[in-house]
Amino acid sequence: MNNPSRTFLDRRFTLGRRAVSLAGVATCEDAALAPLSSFAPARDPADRIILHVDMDAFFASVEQRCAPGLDDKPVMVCGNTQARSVVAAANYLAREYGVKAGTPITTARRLCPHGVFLTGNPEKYVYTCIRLNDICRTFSPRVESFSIDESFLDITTTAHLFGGPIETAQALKARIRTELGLACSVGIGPNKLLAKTASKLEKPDGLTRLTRADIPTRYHTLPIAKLYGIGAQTAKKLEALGVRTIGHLAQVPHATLKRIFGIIGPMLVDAANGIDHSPIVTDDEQPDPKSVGNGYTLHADTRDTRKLLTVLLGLCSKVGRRLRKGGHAGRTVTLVVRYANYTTISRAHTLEAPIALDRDIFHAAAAIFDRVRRHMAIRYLGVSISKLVPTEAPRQLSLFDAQARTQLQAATRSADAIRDRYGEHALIPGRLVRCKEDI
Amino acid sequence: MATTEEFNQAIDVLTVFHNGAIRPVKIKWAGRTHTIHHIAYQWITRDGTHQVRHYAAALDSGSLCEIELHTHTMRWTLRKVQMDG
Repeated sequence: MNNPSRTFLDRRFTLGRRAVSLAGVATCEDAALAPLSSFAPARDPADRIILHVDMDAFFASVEQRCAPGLDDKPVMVCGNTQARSVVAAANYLAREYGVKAGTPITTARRLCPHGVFLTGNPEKYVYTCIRLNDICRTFSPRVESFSIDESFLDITTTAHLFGGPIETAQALKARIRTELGLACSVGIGPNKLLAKTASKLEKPDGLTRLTRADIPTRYHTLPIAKLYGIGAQTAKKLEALGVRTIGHLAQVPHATLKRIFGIIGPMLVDAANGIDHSPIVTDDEQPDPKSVGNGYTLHADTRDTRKLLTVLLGLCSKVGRRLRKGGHAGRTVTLVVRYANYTTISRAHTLEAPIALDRDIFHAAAAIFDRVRRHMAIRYLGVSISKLVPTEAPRQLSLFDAQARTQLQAATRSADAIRDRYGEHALIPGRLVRCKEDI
Repeated sequence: MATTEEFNQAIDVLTVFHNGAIRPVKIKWAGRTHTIHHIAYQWITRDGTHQVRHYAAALDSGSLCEIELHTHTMRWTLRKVQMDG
């Protein structure tokens, strides 16, 4: 492997990237208007200027914009305030009570009984994310929508149009504040890793620049858990080795970490030294997904097989629709079951031929479900499909049910066309009509 | 404590179309006309191929309401109202 740090951080950044379907055309008004001669000369790829824009308490801030009376209240946004989901976002007032993203609602109500609990509206957040990226694209055509509330911009060749990196970040923050009414924190760095680290240093509404010269004083002094890509378990292992800061990690020999963490070990050291060559990946350059999946937490734990199969059907329909929309079919169907005591199991089955029709996915998932122990009530079901291939890839046709399959494919195409035109709820499986779950 | 009530009712909305933008000005609901003080937030979703424009509107009365315009049917709907109570 020629460049292990690139592989590590590419993977980390890819894992972190939550898929958001974004519209909009890449624009950089100022850059487009500027004569070619005014563009900065090409630089060493290692000498980039990257901005990381991180929206502050994004979902909660959007809800506060919609209801200005909430400005001075602890606000928590959840999937469903009546159900047993978790807090998706908490504003900074709520965080003072110990509530954060991922806190179960029951715990959040105990920690912050006078807080305001709101049911989230994903469409509102996706729209705001699209607007955010449209604004970012007026500062650079190289924008990566990293998640629904985070974006990277490569302003290496455009920063001079706005007076420099700091001035660009200030102008970007001002535009976001004016046009969306939201605050964000911006980090500036020579790569994505340092830019992302910088944006976390002064939150909320911060603007921080980390240069290579700052690495010994401002990066190496951070606790090891602050290193991007380090999970709680790895941080624990490192702390047990006496590695408490990023600087400590930077001094550990590659061989030692390789022995303990395997191939990832030396990559950790490079990350600790602020080395990251991972590129900005624009919407047009996003790689195909490795899998497509959906999950659902039931309103109440249940052992009712009929109800569970109904939820499974709903999940399979969603997965199938997303697969077909993306032009994919997949061979491996995975079922995730979480029991009432939070024990989670995952079972997968790989088929001989790729599938993309709802019925095929449901049959495969239901077959796995039949083999899953139901000794305890079930809390959550998830279905995903992987080993994806393009829909148009050649595949083995069945000799026995060719006509029925052709008819089913035609029916599915018609149903997809109706949903494309009239919305996702224009057609749903009959079994889901009376289902009280919000699937 | 503010309470939010869902209505999902068709309403009449006095709307200004100006400079390529849509601005709801007054809503008529339950026999009364309410003036919109300002639009706190707006967003767009899709219903199939059609756009639905959503507005979080602060009324002169101090209440907040969420209204939406379906651009295919051109119908306004009052989704919910948040009242101080």
